[in-house]
Amino acid sequence: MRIVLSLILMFSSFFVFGQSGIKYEKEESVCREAFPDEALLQLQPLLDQSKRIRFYKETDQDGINYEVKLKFEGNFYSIEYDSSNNLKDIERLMSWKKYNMPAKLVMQQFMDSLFIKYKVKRFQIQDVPNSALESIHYLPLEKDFLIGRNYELELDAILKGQHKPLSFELLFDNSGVLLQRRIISSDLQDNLIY
Amino acid sequence: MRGIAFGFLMTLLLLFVASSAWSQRIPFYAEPALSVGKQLKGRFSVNAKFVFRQQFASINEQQLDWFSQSDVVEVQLFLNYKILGSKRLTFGYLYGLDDPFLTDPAWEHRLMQQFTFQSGNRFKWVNRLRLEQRFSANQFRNRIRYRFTFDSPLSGSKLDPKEWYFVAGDEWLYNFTGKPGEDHLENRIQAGLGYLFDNGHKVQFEIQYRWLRMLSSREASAWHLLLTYNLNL
Repeated sequence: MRIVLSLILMFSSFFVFGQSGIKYEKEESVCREAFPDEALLQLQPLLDQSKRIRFYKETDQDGINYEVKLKFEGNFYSIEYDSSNNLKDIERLMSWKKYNMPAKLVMQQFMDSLFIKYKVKRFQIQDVPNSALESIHYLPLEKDFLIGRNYELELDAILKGQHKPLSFELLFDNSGVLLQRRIISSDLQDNLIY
Repeated sequence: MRGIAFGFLMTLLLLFVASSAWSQRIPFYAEPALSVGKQLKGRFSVNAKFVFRQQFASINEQQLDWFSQSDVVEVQLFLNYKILGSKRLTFGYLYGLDDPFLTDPAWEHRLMQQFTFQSGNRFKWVNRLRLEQRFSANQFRNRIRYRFTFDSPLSGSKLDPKEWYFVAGDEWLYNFTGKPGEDHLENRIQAGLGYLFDNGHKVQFEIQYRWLRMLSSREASAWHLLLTYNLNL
């Protein structure tokens, strides 16, 4: 039964992988006043207890979103709202090596099957709660996964059958099924190398 | 906004120090360069860099002489091999001419091997370790150099087209020949601003302070204004 389940997960992940695109996103710093009022009102209790607060406006192919990045109780969070003040998601930066969850093995098996080599650069838990404040308070206490939780990974990897390393953003659900894959257009750093 | 303020403050500070140094009669050079990169198949890429250095002033018997003289012309070629995790191995060759428009310019052939790795997200730290073997008409020199550089977009947490970024770095260079009294240490500290165009090209302006032959009786310093245009084919 486990083998069948793994095969189903793998198959559905490959299906999503084949449909992936390239991530184009423009992000700019904005001042607090430029952030949507309703979102600010919802975030206020959290902002009062947080440090390193930064506000951003993001423009991508789907429209404009607003994001606040902050440090709360020693952890780094990104909280994103759409332009209609709806909370889109909340992400918490984690260590891929240290964080263990049931889906990790499935995700690793998937990446092993797809890439010759890969290196995880960034790992975030992503959630879509009712409110940012609610999420912030339960995320640090969370031991196991919650329904609706996703995992987002940024990695450098080489696809099987290819030689060129690329940067990917992968989004998995809480059972390790790939929901989305995007190639990240990497910033060329030649100006810092020569 | 804090990023913008920080970037401009650092650049202004360096300009202020540069102007102070000017009054103390430190030689001054302008160094425009063109860097052309091309991704090859797989993990390989190549880069060619053309550097032209013009000297504008020097000290002569405690007097600042203002003049304009071509100092160095260099052509650099690099072959890069990308390793996962933002690491690169690079092999390079340089051909340079000192005083290129004089009747008998001094030539140099240089072989280079370097390892670079990058860390950080918003603030990208690039560490570069380079070995050089320098061949010229009358001597052979080795040089080991380590440089760390960081850049940060002045708006947002990642650099997007049509945005400015701040860049700064420090490099230590140790020249050794095996002959007593000829080895020397050098430090280069620099900061500046860059701009990313829509087409992925970058232009970067930096002020660099070179402390030459540190810890020696022939210690000296120089200011370099670097203007580099980076393009990828």
